[in-house]
Amino acid sequence: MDRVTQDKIYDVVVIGGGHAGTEAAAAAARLGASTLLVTLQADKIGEMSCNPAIGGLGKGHLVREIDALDGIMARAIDLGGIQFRTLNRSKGAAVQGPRAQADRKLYRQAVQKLLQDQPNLTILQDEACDLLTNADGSQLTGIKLASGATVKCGAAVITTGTFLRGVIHQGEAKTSAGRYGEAPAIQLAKALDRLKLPLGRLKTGTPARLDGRSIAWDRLDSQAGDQPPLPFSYLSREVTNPQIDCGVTYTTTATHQLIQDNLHRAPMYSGQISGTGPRYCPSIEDKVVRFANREQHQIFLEPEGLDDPTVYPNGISTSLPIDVQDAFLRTIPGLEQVKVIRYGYAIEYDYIDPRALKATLELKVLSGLFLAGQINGTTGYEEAAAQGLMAGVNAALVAAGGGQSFTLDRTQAYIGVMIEDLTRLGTNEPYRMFTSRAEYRLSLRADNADQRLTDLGLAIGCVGLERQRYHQEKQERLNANRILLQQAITSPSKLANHGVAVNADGQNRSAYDLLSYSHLSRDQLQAVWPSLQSIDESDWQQLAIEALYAPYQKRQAQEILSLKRDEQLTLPTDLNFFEIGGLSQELRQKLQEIRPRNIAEASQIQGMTPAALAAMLRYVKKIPGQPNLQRAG
Amino acid sequence: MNPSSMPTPILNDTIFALATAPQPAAIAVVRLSGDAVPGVLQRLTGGLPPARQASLRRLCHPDTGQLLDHALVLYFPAPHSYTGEAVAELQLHGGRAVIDAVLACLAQQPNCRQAEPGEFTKRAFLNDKMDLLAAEAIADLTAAETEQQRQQALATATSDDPHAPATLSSQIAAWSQQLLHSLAYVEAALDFPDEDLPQDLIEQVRPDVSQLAKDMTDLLTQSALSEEIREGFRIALVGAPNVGKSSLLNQLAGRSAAIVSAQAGTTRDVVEVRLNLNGYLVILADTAGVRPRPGQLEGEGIRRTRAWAQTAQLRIFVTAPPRSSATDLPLSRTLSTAVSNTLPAALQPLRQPHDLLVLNKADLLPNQPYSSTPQPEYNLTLSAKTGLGITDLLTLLQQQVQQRYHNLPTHSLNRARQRRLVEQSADHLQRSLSAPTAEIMAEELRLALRALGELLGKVDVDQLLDVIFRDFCLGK
Repeated sequence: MDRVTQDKIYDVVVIGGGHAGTEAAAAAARLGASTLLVTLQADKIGEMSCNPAIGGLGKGHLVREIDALDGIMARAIDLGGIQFRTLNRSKGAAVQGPRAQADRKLYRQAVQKLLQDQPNLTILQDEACDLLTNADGSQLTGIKLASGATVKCGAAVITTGTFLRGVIHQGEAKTSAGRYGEAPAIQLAKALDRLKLPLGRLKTGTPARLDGRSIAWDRLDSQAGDQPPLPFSYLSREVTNPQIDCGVTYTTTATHQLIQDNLHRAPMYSGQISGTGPRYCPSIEDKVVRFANREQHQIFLEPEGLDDPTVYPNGISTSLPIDVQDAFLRTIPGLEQVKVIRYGYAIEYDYIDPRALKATLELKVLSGLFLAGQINGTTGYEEAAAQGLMAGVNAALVAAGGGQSFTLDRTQAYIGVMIEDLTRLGTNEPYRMFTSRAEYRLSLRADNADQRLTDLGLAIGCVGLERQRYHQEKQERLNANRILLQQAITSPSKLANHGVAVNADGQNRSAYDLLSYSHLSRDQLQAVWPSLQSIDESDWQQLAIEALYAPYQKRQAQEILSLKRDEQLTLPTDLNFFEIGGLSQELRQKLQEIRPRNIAEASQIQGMTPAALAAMLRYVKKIPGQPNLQRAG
Repeated sequence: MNPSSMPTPILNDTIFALATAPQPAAIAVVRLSGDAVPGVLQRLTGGLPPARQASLRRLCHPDTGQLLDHALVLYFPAPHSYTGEAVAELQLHGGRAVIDAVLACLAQQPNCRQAEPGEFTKRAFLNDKMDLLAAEAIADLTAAETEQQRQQALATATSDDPHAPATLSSQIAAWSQQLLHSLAYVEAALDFPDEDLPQDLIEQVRPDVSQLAKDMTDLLTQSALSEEIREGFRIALVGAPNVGKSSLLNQLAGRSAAIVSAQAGTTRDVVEVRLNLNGYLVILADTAGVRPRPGQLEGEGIRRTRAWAQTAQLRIFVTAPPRSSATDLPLSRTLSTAVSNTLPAALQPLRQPHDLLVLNKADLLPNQPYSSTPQPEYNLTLSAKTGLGITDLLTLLQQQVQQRYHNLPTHSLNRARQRRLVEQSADHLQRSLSAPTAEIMAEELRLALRALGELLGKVDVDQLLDVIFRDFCLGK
């Protein structure tokens, strides 16, 4: 770790060492920017402060995309993971999501090691306490540190998570804090206040951590991981950590009764918490109230490490008082004698309305300052990391001053879906990725993230040599094998001779076409075309997935084209939306705030109706000198 | 669409159009919409009539002072009108000359022009006055569509009365909700595999999806029937030359519409007669007689016969006893010979189970007590010449029409575009049921929903998530 003295200059400063901060710092450094990562506690870099797991549906897709752009999260979880499972294994590839439980210590060490090995990156343990700008306050020029030093920089990324006015609730007890045991970044919050950014308030919760040695594992069901574990990173050959099982248990009617009886002491119900919590991650109090007819709720008991007795009981996050937590935990099978290491709590925090950001995650009001992660209203390590990567790349591009930027849209990546959703629509609950948010889900798969994104990453410079070599080799091999399959063509009657049954419609089919027929095995196809034996099994699987979705992907490609046509219908930058007739006042307000640049962006605004769009078109058409604007398609 | 090829009506023009059918009628309504309406009314009627009240006014040409008509004038000031603009309705006497004179006069008024097809609706849509389903036609509106179609769309797509029977719009909205619900269940199963959800979520939605597909198909069928009702129930009279098809047509029409002659092959083309049968429009067509070996002259006529007869809802196969032998043979032989001799083989493929086969010229048969159904091969024996059996034939036709239309919905898909989208949606629903994987099923459901969304407005992901989070306890 370096000491930073007065007037040290960096291209990019990243504030915060969580999942957004580490990806941001690593990405900026990969682009060649001299990068400083400022964090309160360097040994906590890469900490999993909530549940010890990475990935899942949508989230796993994000991790693969991060990996395709040479980020660190996938490689870190491959090094730190102790149970790997591909979710939805029985369903199609587009909705399969890799997920892994992590040994928190191993994961942290892996992240720290990857950062240490990253050239151009310096890590500093300090607190960022102020933002320095040019005279008119439009351009960031540096960061002031609590130690007194000033760091000049071309761009900075703030990734301070829930540090903005964080308040922890545990029953009636309220403490001002960031993550458990860490001080909230009050001074930096004040600096952000000066920018008068639109803020919202959210809450999230966490369950008690249990001592695994006090759990009656032998009386519980368990859930094992996949064998062999499938790594996240395209670069990882295998997972070497020993693999563990998780325990599975359930709440009981006694648990529910206890919670019901003590609801008045729950901050969410006593009115003590005003922030909005995520609907997909409700506290156990919420579950009991909202689904009163259920007799039990599932709990996964997830060990936090190979040599760590801490267990994360997934499914019972709570902010009830400590005595109630103790009592209700003991009504759960297997937890009758449980010892609690740390009690559950809810945290309320401010987030900055992400509509204050450009698509690059740079603040609209202050050039050079980027925000990424939970501060933008998202939840989850993966969502944070993906934003961090994009912010880091763009911060480096801004610092380089070439006028370049790097964005992905919703037709290209889950990252694009997320950032478009955030910067265009904002969010009123902690934003989490779901595959159902992605209109082009059949194209945006976890298995093809590298094919979708690595070339884009190479073009912008955020992909290193090792991955470049691996990627180009894989692409060439896939292309060659695809051609091999596409050029192996034969008629139904010849297929029948080999015992391969297809419609006797006289239509010639290629081996590539036949790949999508689920009832045909590889052996059957190889019997017809022995030359196909040369294809590597992983390539075969990849091409089979491609072939299955090919007709849908074609249709989606057409959809994407027409979407892009809409994108081109630009709205005048000085358009006064209040003058447009036929719009509700609320919609005018929204339009004026969001200032969509084109019809496609306008159509994404919450509450936008076709009638309102047409009214806008009508208005724009009346403006003299405006080209003949019509809705495309 | 190529922007430059699309006419861009200037929206501050005032538009007018004849809102009633162009045929001569007692009353014709001309509708105007736009800023110039108050001025036009003042100039033509000498003053602005009170809002939303029928006022009898002398309509005069402002330049010549010439009286155009005595008209009932209605004025709807903006924005409380059909289009949201100032609107006027002139109820005129329905003569062609009156209408022409008024339209010509309006065309001379400043900023006034004839409306394009559907333009009133377009304005209503642009001014946020119209239900989305009607508004959905916006993209089609520059394509030629008749005023009549517009009115139909309006009648079925919007209703201000909350207690009115389901409009098309409310029906589509209800389907969208159902489909959204089904999709949400599939999405929940896809996005939350690790949650404690019911195992059979996807199986649960199958019956709903299948029912929805059926409902859509039913609506499509019913809509085709509605279309038929508007266009008329088509009946083709077919048969060999000189079996008396034209005479039968004349009997049925009660007037002389086709040239009737005793010489074979006089009717060389299709002659249509429009009848009102119990309130239903029926188009009865007399077609060229088909001879076993048609002469060259008849070639074209017979082709048309075949085409018309093929697409008709009903064919009446007309036969007659052979002239020479009719009186000599026992009745049963006569009839079977009649069938084989006077119903040319070429016509046989046109025959459908519900078609009618009649024996004309019953007056030529040997003296037999008349019975309308003497033989099972024939639906009727009749005589176009004497009118024998014609009432029975009319009854049979009425039955057929009633049967076909007895169960019509209160609403229907009037536009080709609406039909196409519902067809698309039903098609995707069917495919979703046979999808190889759950995410492809979801994709098909999404596309089905999108097709409905195109009729109504968009359905967004937030709505989907709302259903998921409302119905399932999620969150580990």
